[in-house]
Amino acid sequence: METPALAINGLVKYFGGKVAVNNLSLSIPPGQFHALLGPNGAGKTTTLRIVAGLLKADAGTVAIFGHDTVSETDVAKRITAFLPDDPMLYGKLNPLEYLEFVAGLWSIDAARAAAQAEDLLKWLELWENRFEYTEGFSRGMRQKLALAGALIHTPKLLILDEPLTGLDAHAAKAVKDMLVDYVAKGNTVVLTTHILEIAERLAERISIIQKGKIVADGTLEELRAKSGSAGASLEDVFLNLTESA
Amino acid sequence: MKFVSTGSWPWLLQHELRLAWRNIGGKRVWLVLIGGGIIWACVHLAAWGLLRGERVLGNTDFQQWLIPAAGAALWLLMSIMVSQTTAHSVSAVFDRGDLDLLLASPLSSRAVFAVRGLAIALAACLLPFLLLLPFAHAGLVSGRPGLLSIYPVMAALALLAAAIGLWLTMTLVRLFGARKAKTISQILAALIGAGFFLLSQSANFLPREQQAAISAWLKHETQNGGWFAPDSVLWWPVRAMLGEWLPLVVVTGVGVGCFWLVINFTHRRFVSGTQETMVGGTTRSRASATSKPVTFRGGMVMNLLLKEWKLLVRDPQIISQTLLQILYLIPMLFLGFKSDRSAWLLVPGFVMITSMLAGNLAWLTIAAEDAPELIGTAPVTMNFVRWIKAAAAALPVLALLLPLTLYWLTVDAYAAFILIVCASGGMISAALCQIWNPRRGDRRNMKKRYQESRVVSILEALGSMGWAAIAVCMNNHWVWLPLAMALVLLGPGTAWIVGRGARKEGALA
Repeated sequence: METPALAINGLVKYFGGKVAVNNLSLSIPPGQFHALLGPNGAGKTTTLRIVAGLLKADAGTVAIFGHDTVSETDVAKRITAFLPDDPMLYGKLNPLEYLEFVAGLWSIDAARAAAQAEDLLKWLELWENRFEYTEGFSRGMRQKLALAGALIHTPKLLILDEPLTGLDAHAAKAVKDMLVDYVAKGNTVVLTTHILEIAERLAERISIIQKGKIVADGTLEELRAKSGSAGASLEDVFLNLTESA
Repeated sequence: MKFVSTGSWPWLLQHELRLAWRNIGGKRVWLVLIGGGIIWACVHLAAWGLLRGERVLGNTDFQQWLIPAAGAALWLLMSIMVSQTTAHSVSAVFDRGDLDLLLASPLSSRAVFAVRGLAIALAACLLPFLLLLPFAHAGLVSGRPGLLSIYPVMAALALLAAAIGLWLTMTLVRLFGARKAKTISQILAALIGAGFFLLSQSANFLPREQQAAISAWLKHETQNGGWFAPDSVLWWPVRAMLGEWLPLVVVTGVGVGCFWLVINFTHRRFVSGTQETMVGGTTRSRASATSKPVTFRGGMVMNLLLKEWKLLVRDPQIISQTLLQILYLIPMLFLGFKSDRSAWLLVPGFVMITSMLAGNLAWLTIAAEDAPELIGTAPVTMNFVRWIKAAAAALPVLALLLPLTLYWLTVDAYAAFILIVCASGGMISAALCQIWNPRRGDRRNMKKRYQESRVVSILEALGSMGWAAIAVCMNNHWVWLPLAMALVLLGPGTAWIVGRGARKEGALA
């Protein structure tokens, strides 16, 4: 059996006695575009932050391509990238310096990283801004640069928390195309989004989280069948499943 | 029941004061009040003890030196107040907060500016007020009601300081534009704050003959008719505090008048300055551009160090806020190069200042990391990253001390040894407090770092005091060494214990 790109097993996380993630299990095979949906406070971001190594779970395990994120942290992190919903950049660094720093953190070969940075900045239309400090960047430009940072070490698993927030229509389309292309090359993408149309159009499988648990998981058709609303939009399916959970 | 009409400037002042009050102590406001009240009662007792009877203030000989001494102290206080009001004026213009809401409301911009100015004056005079008002109250019960003039004089001086701070900031905005004005006024605020100290130390850089000449001139000028004589206009604020009516009227008039003039003549500039900062917020400054092909440096450690140093030197706000410590260090370095075998006497001072400087830089590099999520997801342990960041903070401070250490090696090798060991120890202690008790901070709010993490600040201070004490002990006071070492261990040791939870979570988030 193929090793899952992401295997979450019995994940639990409490915040001051309140359960944020409640025995959550999920398995995502390599090369899949997976969307994680749920209402505000459902536990999506907490789950992703545990997967990325930013939070410690109270119970349960997470493995990335078979590497446990606790016992094999270094290997797991090396093949993963996490893009938070509001990525923080360094205001007094320019895009090239930012990418140089990120490449340094992942110990990427300097020459390879420089070439990769040039390609990414050109593709994300930030090349003209490469010598400008990021403190003056718009939200969309910051989001694009953070995405470039996430991609510079060519991760096999890309985790994105609300990646299209703040992007204009043109930039949003470019990012969506890139994500589809990235998955087509055999990589895995897991994203959370409030824009259900994105999940509907891009994701091969969708997991719906409610109160820290997966309440439904499958393709859009499977979710429609589960909610008993054949032919309905994902929005209707989502509302059906989260209200009945 | 409302005492002030909605939308008036007193109403706005009431709103500002309520916010300021809530910022003082939050939920612990009663603790602050009780603790502060006890201390204030003690200051009252001390003031009453000093003023009892006619012995002190009624003595002519005493007045002969009291007025110049108190006057000089008051001007020193004034310089600190101007430094504070300049810094607060920068915040009033550049830290937007609720400014957009206020300026978009039907309130006049003059009222908004005046209330901001009053809040600045109040913030600047709060501590001097707490120190001096007990003398006014003690004067009342010991038969010197004239000392109640401290109230209007301090209020006038606060208004004058606010007027100077606001005028300086607004003038800089007009001359250089909002962005540059912010940097210049922050540096200026630090320079004004350290001005008196640097001035008092400047004589130390002169040859002995010139020092003697200055001393003789000062003595001459404190005689009757001289610049610094007790009857000089320079000391009118002190005379006003003692209840002399003419100085009181003049000082109060100057304070209130200057404030009124500045508010009336610069409030439009205030509005344009705030608008410029809003537009300026999206202005992009360019780093040095080059058409050379893109080349990256390899290596995680080098990239981490370079990133921290770039962020430190490129942020004028950080430079201005650490400038004060560097300014205090410079005269000491000069003294260090002038001293001979008594050089070791300076070591505790060097240790304290360099530890404080390294502590501030370590807070910037470790606690005030801008992108903790990026660092947290990188394939490198958090502990390793924190150590590199601590090195990024300590190395520039060590570089400042290096020339003096090398010079001392030729003069007094043992003093050089004490300096480098204790200064490094102090810096490592300060860094350990950040590494072992990691707490998130905001580098744009460095001034609030002591409020946000009081425990870490106290522990840092304990560590640096301990290393300063070790420096003293190493000069033939070995008997006190265990006590000094205990102090050193107390700082980082407590940080290690109280920071277990934060370290366990792993990430900086």
